[in-house]
Amino acid sequence: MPLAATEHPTDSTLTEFVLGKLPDETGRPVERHLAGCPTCQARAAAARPADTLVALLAAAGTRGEDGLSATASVSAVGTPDEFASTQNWTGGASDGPAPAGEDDSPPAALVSHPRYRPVRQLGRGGMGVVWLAEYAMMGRRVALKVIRPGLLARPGAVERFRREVHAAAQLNHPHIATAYDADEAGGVHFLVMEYVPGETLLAEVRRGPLAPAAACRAARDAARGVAHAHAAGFVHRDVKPSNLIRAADGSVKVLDFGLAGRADAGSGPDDPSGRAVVMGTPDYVAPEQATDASAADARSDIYSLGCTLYHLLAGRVPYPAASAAEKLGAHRAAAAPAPVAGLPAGVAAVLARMLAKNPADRYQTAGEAADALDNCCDPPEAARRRLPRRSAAAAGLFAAAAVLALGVVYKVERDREVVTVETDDPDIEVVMKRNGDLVRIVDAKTKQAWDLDTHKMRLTPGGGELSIDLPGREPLVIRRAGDATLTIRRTPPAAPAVVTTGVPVGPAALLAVTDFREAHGVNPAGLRRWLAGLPPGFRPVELTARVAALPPLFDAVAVRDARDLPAEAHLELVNADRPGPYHLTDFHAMAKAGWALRASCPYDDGADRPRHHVWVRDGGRWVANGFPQAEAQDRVARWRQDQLRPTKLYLNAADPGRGKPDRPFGVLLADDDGLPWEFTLEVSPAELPVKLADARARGRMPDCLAAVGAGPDRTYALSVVPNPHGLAWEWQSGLTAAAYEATLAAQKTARRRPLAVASEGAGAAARYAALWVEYSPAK
Amino acid sequence: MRRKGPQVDTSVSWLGRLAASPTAADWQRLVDAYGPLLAAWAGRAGVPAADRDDLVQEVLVVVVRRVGEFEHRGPGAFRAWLRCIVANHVRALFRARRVAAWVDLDQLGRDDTTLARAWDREHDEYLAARAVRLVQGDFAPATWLAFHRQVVGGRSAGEAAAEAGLSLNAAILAKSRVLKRLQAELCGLVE
Repeated sequence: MPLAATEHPTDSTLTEFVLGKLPDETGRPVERHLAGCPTCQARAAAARPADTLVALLAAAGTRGEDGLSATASVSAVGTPDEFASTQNWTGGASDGPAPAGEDDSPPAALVSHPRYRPVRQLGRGGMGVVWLAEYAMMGRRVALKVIRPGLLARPGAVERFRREVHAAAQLNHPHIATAYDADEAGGVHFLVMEYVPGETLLAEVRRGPLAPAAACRAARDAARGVAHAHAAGFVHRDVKPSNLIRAADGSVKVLDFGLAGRADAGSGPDDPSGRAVVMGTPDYVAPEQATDASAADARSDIYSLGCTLYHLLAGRVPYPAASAAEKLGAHRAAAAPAPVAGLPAGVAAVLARMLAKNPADRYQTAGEAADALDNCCDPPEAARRRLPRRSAAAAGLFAAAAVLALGVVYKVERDREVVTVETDDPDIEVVMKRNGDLVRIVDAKTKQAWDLDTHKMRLTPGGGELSIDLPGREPLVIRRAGDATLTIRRTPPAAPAVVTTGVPVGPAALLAVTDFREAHGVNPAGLRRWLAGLPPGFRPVELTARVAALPPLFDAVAVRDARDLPAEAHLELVNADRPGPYHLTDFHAMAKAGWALRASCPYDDGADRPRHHVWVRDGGRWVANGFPQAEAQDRVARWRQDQLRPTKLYLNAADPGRGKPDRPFGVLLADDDGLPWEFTLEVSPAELPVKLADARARGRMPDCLAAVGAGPDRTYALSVVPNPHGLAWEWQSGLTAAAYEATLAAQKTARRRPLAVASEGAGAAARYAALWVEYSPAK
Repeated sequence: MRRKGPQVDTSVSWLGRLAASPTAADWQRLVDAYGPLLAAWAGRAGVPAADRDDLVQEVLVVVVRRVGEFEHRGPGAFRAWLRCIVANHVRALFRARRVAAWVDLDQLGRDDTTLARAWDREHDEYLAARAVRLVQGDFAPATWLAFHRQVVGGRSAGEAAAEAGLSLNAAILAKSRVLKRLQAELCGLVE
């Protein structure tokens, strides 16, 4: 019943209005009436009706951000509650500096984390505490940045944090410390990133200014990393010496991409999208960023890098004013900072341009700045690090030794690579043992010893239980009091000649492999060990489960030197855990996961479901997932438009209608590379040989092959691509497990590896189908 | 006061679409809205972390496949249906593993038990918290503050108005409008 504007609403109407329960047509008149009737406003204000929604909201509002934190109601019925376990750590630290004592031990949620084992604290900063942790599965070391709870307290902040870290995880560059993942345990959010052993440039410059060439090299490295990130659409917003870290080989990496935009600790103004924007650190912030934090662009990072360079050269920040406000004012209005004494003219000019107040007067890209800095980086190696505090004569000797690249070199030749140990330090003693399998290194000065296992490529400090895996490409440098005493390098043998007519694309590039390893019938634990023990450079490309075996057994194929995967691809075998959410439609996480392999293995109930996954992240690939076959053709058309090419197809979990055509499945997509590809679904077993023969006749080769369904009802999905190098390939199906293994050995002798392996059927009737492709292009 | 025009998509119609012809957005909403909750539930029941996502995925696939059979019998019906699916899947998992669940799954599958009520409560609070996060951006900060002080903080309309710098009438309207928006968001999903 609509209400006349002059009429006072009844108590019940007013109550319903206050609770938002009136539909618009009755609510509007009440609204109009209230606007002009103080009496009814007072009535409405006095009405505090009980309401289930209000009670629910009040309860929800006092919980954690996601409403999933511990509650008495759940605890009361005696269910174990993992969500409550970390409250000691997070509680009371919502803002401001963390209370003392918290930093002594890792958060409880991390201690009990299934994937990461905290080793020691690396440091703490504005965002939170950084821990060195071991990634349990692979023994790989990572840095975990535990985000201070208050920083993610805003609604939606956690999602944004994850999104941005996931985006930043796609940055892959020698001068960027890669973010791997954003994870959460018991309400504690943390960033998983590449662990770079070394110290920040802030720590370095605190000991004194750097030589101009060394400072320029550091800034150049950082500029290259920043340029890469800019190209990917990231602005760092907080470039400063403490965000630059010196790796073991002397190069510099930029830390914390994707984080600066998140530091909404209340210091910065909100931008119109409701997202807080960091102000930057006052000593290094660009004038435009100081005025309007959301105005920061790539050139602001160049200014911050200029301030950083100034700091490295001068040993002090550009505007050492007392307060943050004065500093900000100086960036905006003051004259150029005090000149640095003894600076070569070229360096001074580059620095001045980086520090220009007007963004238009600076280098417009970080790449330009890097090139300019590169010209200031002579003299070479000898001055890579500041000359150590030695006598002048000793310094001269040191430089001479470095220039002549002399020193003692020990060399161990392994079947696939050469390990060299170089030292120019008379106090370092190197002893070969067991025919070079073990190299004992002793520093007579410090009595420190190391054992180098040249099979496992692992360095173990004497008496220590921790060991270091030798990095694949970069040399490992051991220092004494800051001075390099020993360098260990691994040199892979020269890759065999690969026919490269034009740019290798797609599968041809993938096939440019020099070797592969395989494992058969290993259980999950064995598979994990096998993966962990693979030499560097090997990546699994195929994982197949032997169905109906208990415990589940896997066949895995690892390939070395698969050229279309970046060398830094991050590998994880996921069983007891997995990185991030990957629900059916979580495209974002999937995109990050990139190169993924899934395999089926049985539960006791006989239904086979995917259980084990291997992810190799390289950031550039996509996964489409969870769509029924009926949609597939449409999707294929869309991928083609989007210049994406399917490279692997797999069945999704969980569909009870196993083998039915509507079973949802997923596809891995790679960049098209302009490759003309053809994708066919629902190829019956009888048609498959025909299709393959047709492809061969047309000079094409299979690129992706998967069985959909099982048994006689199964169909195949097949994509074919050009075969420009004339690679030999062969299709076999119906192989028993034993026959598959025998064939694998024979094919390996013929330098063919499996491109795709599908298991068909279950139990004793399980058969394998394999597509063998030559991995060394025919001459 | 509202920055955007009304774009209320009631949850009931969303359920209807999910049953009839779900779009990717509808499916996404299901995953976003229920994924973390289901994973948390599975954890409470003792499902190992390794299996939670598979289980969540299975449950959501079942929801999509069978939502057509689901009859909306009023508030909370979807919630109860979901709880039963979870209970069944968790039971199947533990049966296959021959280990015991941490909770009594039979109790979880029935509506009138302490366990079911506790989990229903959590469902509602989770969805409410999520709805609050979703709609907050649709309101001006002062409106939001006035609403929040009254409903979550338990303040009177007058106190909320003073704190938010609004008139008394605006504070009353703030509460009314935000609650209305939240009801639309939560319609049929919570009790």
